Amino acid sequence: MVGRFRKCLVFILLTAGAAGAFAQRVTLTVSKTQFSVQEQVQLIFTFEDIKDSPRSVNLELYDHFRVVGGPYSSTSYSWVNGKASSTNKVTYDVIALKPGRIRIPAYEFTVKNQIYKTEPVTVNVTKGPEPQASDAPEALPAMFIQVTGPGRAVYQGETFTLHYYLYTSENVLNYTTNPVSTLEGFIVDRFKLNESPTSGRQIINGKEYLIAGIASLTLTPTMTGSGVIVPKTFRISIKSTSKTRSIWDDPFFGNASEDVTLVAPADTIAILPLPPGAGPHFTGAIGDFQLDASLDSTVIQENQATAVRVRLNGHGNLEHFAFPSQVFSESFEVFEPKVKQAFKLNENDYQGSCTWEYVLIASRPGTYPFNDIAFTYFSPADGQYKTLRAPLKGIRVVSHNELEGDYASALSPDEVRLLSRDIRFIQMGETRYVDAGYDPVRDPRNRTWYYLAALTALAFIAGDFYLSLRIKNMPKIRYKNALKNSMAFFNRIAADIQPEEALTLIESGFRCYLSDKQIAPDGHPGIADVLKTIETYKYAPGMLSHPLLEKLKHRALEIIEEKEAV
Amino acid sequence: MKRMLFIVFLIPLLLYPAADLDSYNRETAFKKGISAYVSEDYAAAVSIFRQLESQGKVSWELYYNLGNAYFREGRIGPAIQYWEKAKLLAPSEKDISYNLSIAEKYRVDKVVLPDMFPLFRWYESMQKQFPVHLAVRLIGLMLFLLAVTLGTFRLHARMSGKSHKGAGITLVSVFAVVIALLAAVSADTAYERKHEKHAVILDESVYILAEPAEGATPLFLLHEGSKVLIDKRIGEEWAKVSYFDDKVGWVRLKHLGEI
Repeated sequence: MVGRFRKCLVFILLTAGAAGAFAQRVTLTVSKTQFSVQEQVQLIFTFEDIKDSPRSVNLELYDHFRVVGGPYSSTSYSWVNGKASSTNKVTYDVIALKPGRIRIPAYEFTVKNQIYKTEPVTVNVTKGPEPQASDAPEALPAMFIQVTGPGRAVYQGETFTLHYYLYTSENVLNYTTNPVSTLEGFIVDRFKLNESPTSGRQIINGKEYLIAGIASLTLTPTMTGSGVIVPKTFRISIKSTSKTRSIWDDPFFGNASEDVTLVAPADTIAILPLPPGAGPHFTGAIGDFQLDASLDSTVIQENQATAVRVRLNGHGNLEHFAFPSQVFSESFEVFEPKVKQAFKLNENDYQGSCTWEYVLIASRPGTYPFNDIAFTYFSPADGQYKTLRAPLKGIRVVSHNELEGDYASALSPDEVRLLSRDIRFIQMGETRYVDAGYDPVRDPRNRTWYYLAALTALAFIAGDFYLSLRIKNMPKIRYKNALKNSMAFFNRIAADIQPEEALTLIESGFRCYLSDKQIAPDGHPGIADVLKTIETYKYAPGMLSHPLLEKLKHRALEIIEEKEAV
Repeated sequence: MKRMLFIVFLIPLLLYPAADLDSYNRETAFKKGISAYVSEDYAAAVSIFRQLESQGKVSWELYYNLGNAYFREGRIGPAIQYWEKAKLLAPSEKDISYNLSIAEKYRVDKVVLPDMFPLFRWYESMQKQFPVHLAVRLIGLMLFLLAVTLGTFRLHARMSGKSHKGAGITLVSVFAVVIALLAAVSADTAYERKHEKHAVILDESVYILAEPAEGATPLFLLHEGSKVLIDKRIGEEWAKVSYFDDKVGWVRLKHLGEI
């Protein structure tokens, strides 16, 4: 009996000890207590045996640290002496922003009306190693690619652009790469390969490089923590430096080229979560914006429509948010807004304007004031939320009778000016005056082309008439000019020309005369003789000599003279 | 003889400076009107521009500026009248159309017309794009080009013996269609301009009467800026006007600003 009692006592004591060992508590630990500026460390919150412990912590350490990752949450269970215990860890990746001794304050958590508290932790942040000045300049490659980002941590949902710069001392002919369509943790807004980039020059370690922005990648992060931009391969075609050219090198299309593959290094972008306290008018807009709103008319009839136009202008993630819903008076039937997007991607993000047009129909007469149109966006430059308000004038809804009666003023000029719908400015340039009863048809200046057209037509008709006459009288003209035309050939026969050429000229001159005078070869016995002699000499050019040719020419000219005499 | 020649050459030289002086004075007055407008003395601007108009030489810029000055004075009727006048001289000028669209906001009498049949809409845009003076010049230019091309074809055919009949017929057909279209549009616009006189109500509100007599039955009420078509006139006193075809009545001419 005593033994059994002792056993029970021991069991009770052990159980109580175990329970004490797994007491509910929260601890904060830092992965290193001494580290340098910009070095990444982990803040770990350990919730021991606390059911429904928080999965994230409001750190409020923005002056000393920047969160680059997290919160990462993990839970582990263990059994000790038949009793289950759980440990939940919430981890943040942070980097220190300033050197010095930093005291991380105690954090307080309330879980199920129970308050838990961590102990304060002190860490020592050093300046970090100074960059070592090297005596010998680093040997740089002939070509490399550098990626430049926004130069700061971006916020979840903020649109930003990475630029790929090619540094080259080679003569680049062309470059290609595969487009980027997806990237884990990001919305890919655009990947653009710059086909005609602007370039500049820079000397690095005594070596001159031509720098050209060859591509850009516009992204919008959907997560927080560290966003990894995977390496990007580019195929660069450069002018070949090889001195031994093969015979296959095309001499017409410039020099030979060779392809080089370059890899843009991977990059990591720190993505911060948006701070709390956004307010009801925030729908995810990040950037820098201006807001204006206008009302189509301030006086309308009942059951008539009017429109409220809200225009947001600026730059940021214009593509990725909707306009916050607006509440108008219950006396109006409000339709879904018509959205008109007039923005495009520029160098870094979306720029332009977006207009939402709400159509309202008034159901009963009265005077209705409108609330200001409100819109909240997050400004990454200032790291805070900003709320814009555009005032709207009230609207007066009148009955049918009232408007059809003596009501005679819709809007005053000042009212219209307030609605940003003012008239355009006067014309100040040179003016061209016309007579008060100006008739363009009777204006002689407008008739110039008609006169020109008539003159041209007349000129062509005259030319055509002249040509037709000439063609008709061609045989007569040729008959008349026969001697002149044939002598033109004979006169070209000089003493120093080749015998074959002289023979050709004699034949041409003689035949030209016969043809122009329309004389048949058998019309004169001498003609046939001359033509036969020419044919003989043509087939036996070895017989040709200048005396013989002179004789032939004289014979031909004698016949021509005879014919002319007739 | 020498004296005669001297006089013949001298006359244009004497006339030229006179003409130039006229134009110089007009430009100076126009600039004065602009200065008055810029310094927000709209009444003075109206007076200067009106004086320029009365000299018999006009321009769309003068009418436009006069319309703006009236608008700034808060007189919508004359503003619309002068912008409409400017539009007749420069139908495709966007500033005029814009200001007229702004003036629409003030007009109390608002008529919502059904959407125009696409062919009519196209025809209207043709009328805007090719105002009469431009169409007249374009037709002349096209006739000139046609004469040059056909003449070249003909001469080439005569010299080479090759016929270009097919190409010639095609070319003439294309030119004929374009010229006919332009001529029809401009002739219609010129006819409308000559025979259809529009006017704008200048007073705040005017009753349109059943008869051209004081005390006649009022038919309907029109407000400042509403545009009417003048169908008939009786002397310098009364005009029969129609408002969107279906409403017809009489009004005193003094209430109307003719476009």
